[in-house]
Amino acid sequence: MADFQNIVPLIPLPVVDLHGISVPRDGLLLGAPPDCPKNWASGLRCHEHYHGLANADVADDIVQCPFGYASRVVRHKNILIALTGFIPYPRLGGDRERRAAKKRAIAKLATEQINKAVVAVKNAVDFSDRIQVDTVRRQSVALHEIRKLNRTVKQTAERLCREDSPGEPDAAEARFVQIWKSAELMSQQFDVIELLANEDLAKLPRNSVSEVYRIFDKCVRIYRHAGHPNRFSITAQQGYSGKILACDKTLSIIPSALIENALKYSVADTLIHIDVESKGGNCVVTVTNQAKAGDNVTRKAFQKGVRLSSDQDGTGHGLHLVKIVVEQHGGTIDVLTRPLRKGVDEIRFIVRLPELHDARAQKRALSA
Amino acid sequence: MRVFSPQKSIASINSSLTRDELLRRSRILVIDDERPEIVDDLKRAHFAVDYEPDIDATKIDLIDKRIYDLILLDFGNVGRAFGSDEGLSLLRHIKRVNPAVVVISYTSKALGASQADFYRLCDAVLPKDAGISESLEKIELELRRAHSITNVWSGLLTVCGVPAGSADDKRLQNLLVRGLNRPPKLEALKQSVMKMLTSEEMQKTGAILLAKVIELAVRSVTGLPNG
Repeated sequence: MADFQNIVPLIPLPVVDLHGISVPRDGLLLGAPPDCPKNWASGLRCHEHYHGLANADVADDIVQCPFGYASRVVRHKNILIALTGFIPYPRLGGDRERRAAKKRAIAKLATEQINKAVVAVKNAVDFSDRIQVDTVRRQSVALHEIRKLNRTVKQTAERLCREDSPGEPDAAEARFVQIWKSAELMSQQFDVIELLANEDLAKLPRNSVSEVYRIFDKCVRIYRHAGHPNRFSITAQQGYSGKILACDKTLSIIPSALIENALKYSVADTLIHIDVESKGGNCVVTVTNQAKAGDNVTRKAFQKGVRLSSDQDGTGHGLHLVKIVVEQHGGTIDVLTRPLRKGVDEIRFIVRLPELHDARAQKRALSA
Repeated sequence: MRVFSPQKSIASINSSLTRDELLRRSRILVIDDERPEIVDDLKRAHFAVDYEPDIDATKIDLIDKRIYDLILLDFGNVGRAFGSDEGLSLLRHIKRVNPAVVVISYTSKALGASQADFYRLCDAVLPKDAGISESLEKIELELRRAHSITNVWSGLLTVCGVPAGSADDKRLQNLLVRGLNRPPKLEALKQSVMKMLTSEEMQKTGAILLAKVIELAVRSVTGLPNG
């Protein structure tokens, strides 16, 4: 447990976030000493003091500011802050310091107390890190348990469907199929959450061969049975399935996030079309939907946290995750927008993934 | 008299099995602390499958005898006898003993960055919450990979410490190809391989993999059914 007791008598020892110091107003508003905003506004000397602290290697020194107060830098892990606005004892010396000490007796602190505050700050940072690690671990356990529950629902429903209609489980009793596909949809969302929590998964090697048409078709079937029966059409060149070298862990995120995105932003009751074709050595998938005009969908949509529309729920991470998974598979993704009719744009997401051309190449790739 | 056509490399040998042969020749091991229903699904689909909740010193022979072609491996609560990394520690042991066995990661746990090597070292990933049909298809596909001559050859190279595509790799492939045209020449391949294997453990693995490579190659050339 961090030792917070030593820091209590030092409150309100002002703290300045030196990472924010390049934005003067923000940097100083975070707990700066009472005189600082005025001094900051009045001239450059105060700026120079904090810029100097941010850039110099003065971690263990107490440095006097031009107005007679002192600061002590704390560098620890990813924090860079200054405990500031105090008059140290023993004194650093000078008229300005003497005047500051008379003016604000409460700011006089023994150097030993400052050192204790530094240790307490570092302990607090370590403690916070431990809380974060523990939170991630607990989230992981929770996700694991929820996935297990969903697995039971999904596989039980699939077994019922297979018993009811052995040759074609999708054609089994509708309510069984709906439960099965809804649980499939949950599984897809769990994959997205997992990648969101750990983007390093998009650095895993591609060690399987997958057929692009099949994974998109599977995804479309899920959505059809899970409440969107008439919203999708999917086509492919005759006899073309589009084999690629794939990472099993992440590939399915491409269709699930693109289709979820198209569904979310489409004009009601319009068709979402998915086309799979071979072009220039790539398997090219185009997902086309009709969206409200004015959402201005550009490549910016692939940036983390960018939402296409403010009137829809969403975190703005789906398309970013699609992009990193596409890149993991050696491919590219683009978006094209064109006006279709008044108030409606056509949005096309185009994914290009390098094909595996023949069995020999696949074998070589897999044995490499 | 049969005329053997010359082969250029391992990759040109078609070692694919019929589904019946695949079912007959394959053995699957599922290692998971909680018995998953996929074991029963696999049995119903006529696969030879065994289940173990964990591998420890008393069960290590199951791995060390190299009798399985494919292993479904959970991450959590297994493999603690091999190290603190649970399933990852066991996976490292499995791959050390037999680099040609295909290991499928079978976990629903969200592994952190430090545990991602588990996915990296596995040959494939099958989420535990995958559908039944999807799981059976995936396992069958990976079994085909396990029985492919390129996979077994790759495992043999790993045991011999020979980089894929190196001059030694090409020389050994050449010996195999020549051996197919004149079967007694395969002896030279065996001797070359055995010279590269220093420990008794490696010799055991090497001998098993070499025998499998030769069997797959000879049957492919003669057109006889594998098995």
